[in-house]
Amino acid sequence: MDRKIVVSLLLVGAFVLPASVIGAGGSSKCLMCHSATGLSKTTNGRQVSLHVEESVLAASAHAKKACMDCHVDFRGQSFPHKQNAQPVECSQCHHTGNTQGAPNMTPMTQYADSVHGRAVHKGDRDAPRCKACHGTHDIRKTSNPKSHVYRSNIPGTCSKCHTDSAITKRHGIPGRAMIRSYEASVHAKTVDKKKFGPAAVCTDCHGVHNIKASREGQSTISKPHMPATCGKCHEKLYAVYRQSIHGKALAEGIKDAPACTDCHGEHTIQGSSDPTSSIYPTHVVATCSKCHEDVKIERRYGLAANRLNTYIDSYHGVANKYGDIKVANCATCHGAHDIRPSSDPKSAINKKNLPKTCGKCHPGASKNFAKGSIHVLPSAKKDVGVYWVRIFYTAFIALLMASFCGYIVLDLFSRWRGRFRRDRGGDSTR
Amino acid sequence: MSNQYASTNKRYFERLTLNQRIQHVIMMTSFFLLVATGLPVLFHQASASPAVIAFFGGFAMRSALHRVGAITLIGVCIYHVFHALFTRRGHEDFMAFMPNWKDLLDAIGMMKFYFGFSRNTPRFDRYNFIEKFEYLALGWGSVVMIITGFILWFEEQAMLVLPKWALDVAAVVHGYEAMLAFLAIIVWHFYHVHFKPGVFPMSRIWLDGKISEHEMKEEHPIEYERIIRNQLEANEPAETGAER
Repeated sequence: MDRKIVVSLLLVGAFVLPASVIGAGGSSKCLMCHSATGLSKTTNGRQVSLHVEESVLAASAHAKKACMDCHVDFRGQSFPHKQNAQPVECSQCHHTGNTQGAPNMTPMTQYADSVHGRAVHKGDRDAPRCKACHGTHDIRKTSNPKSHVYRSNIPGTCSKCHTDSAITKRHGIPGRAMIRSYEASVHAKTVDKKKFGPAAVCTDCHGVHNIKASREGQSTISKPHMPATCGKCHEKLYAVYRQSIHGKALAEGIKDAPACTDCHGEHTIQGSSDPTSSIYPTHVVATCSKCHEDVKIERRYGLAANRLNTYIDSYHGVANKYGDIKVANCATCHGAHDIRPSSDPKSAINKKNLPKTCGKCHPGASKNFAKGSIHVLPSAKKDVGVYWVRIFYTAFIALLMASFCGYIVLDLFSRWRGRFRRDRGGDSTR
Repeated sequence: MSNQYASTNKRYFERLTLNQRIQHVIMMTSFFLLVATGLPVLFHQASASPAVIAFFGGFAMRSALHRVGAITLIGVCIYHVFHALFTRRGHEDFMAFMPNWKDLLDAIGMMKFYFGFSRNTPRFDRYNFIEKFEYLALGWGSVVMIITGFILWFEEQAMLVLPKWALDVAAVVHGYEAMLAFLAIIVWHFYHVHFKPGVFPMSRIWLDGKISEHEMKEEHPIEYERIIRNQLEANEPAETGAER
């Protein structure tokens, strides 16, 4: 067993080197053993390297620290140490008011109440401690491109656990597919030069030390907080959304109201020009209809019914269905983030604003565009022109076809009886 | 009946001139192109519609082809108006298409015949009441389709004058009138011209323009007799050696 090798190595060291108390500051003695590349132990059947590369530590944020500044459990112990190292407690330095100038403990308390921190507290061995994300001897500042928590390295760092199918299955959380869909998303693909990396990485939305599940009220990705989270970057859209019927309803605590991801998707998010996007012109109709064709939601909030089928029956709807991306979809007229009820004077579909709204595609649109329904639903009371024309034509076509077919049947019957064998004789020339 | 015409079973008469046959073919082609590119929009929820639109090369191409069909049909309609107004043959045929009281009596006469109140069918002239009805229906239908079609094509210009609801009505009229025209053609026209017993599966008149003497006697006796009479009158001076 490896442990035997380690122990024997340590014993050799003990005989060869004069036994002494390990100095509080010096690292040289530790490295006598730990600089050996083959030095390792086995924990839970896994081989764990005990090798420490001095240069790595020297390049880290803790370059000026000695081994026992962190591994305090070896202070004052005889060398070589006999027991295993205890997990390092980062908070011994990283607390508020620390004298070393280490980043303070606010993140630490947030961590304790995060989904990760609580799992660690419960003894979940899969849950990440500081080192799972920050590293150990190679901890670097966030601004260092080699840091595990440098912006562009964050997706990779999170993926270490979140693509490990053993972990994701055990905890019932999204795994490799979710990470893959993020990697293909507009957030991952768009590079923001100001941010030194992808437009949005995991922590931008989920938080850093305060990561919580979306079902928790305080989570940055919980429905009530989501608009503000997306709004950190999408400031203008957030301001517009908050004034919309959807934004106001969500702020009032109506959980059925859509937040950002209900329309845009989560990790899969794409720009509206991407054919796979949920807000691509030909997908918008289905996206809006998730709620607006839901009978429960329609009745609960008194939403106008028959919006989808009246749209589909219009020329806009038919052309959209067959892939015409220029033709009007829901958002073209109703807006996207600024959707307001038609009663609102600022609404794009307020009768007064219709000429302007229609004019986006139909230059020079006049007041005539507002004279009549857009979602035509003919009845004896509304859209009467279409209603009566339909009735007239239906009756007319039915009557005409019945006459045609009746005549043809009579004709065929007469011919079958041979009655057309005319015996005109002199009649033909008279 | 003189001997000259006693053995004339293989004689043919000109029913459609080459000019008229070309008009017919252009009208027919544009009509079916319009039907094929238009019905998938009217019946967009039918299972076959996506395949038809894909066949035409997508929705934009469908729209373009529909307009090509429209321009062609309008072109042949305009040509036909000039043909009917300014050519001798066209004008004669046009006037022969005009309905009169005899057509009503003929229709009643057909009913009497079908229900056994009469032994003989009415005797028809160059165009019977069925053909006249078809011609006038085609004319009226074309006017309706062209007007509503233009409203929908140039919707922005149309709505400088018309309210939105009028466009909706135009769209509905365009759709129903199309259905009406399509059904009239494939039921009424096809039966009386091509599918009725004795002609089935197809009359060749639209291709070669010729109608047999037998068919002339059967279907258009009044016209037949008029032609024979005119020929006899024209030939009599010939027999006496005068100028033909």
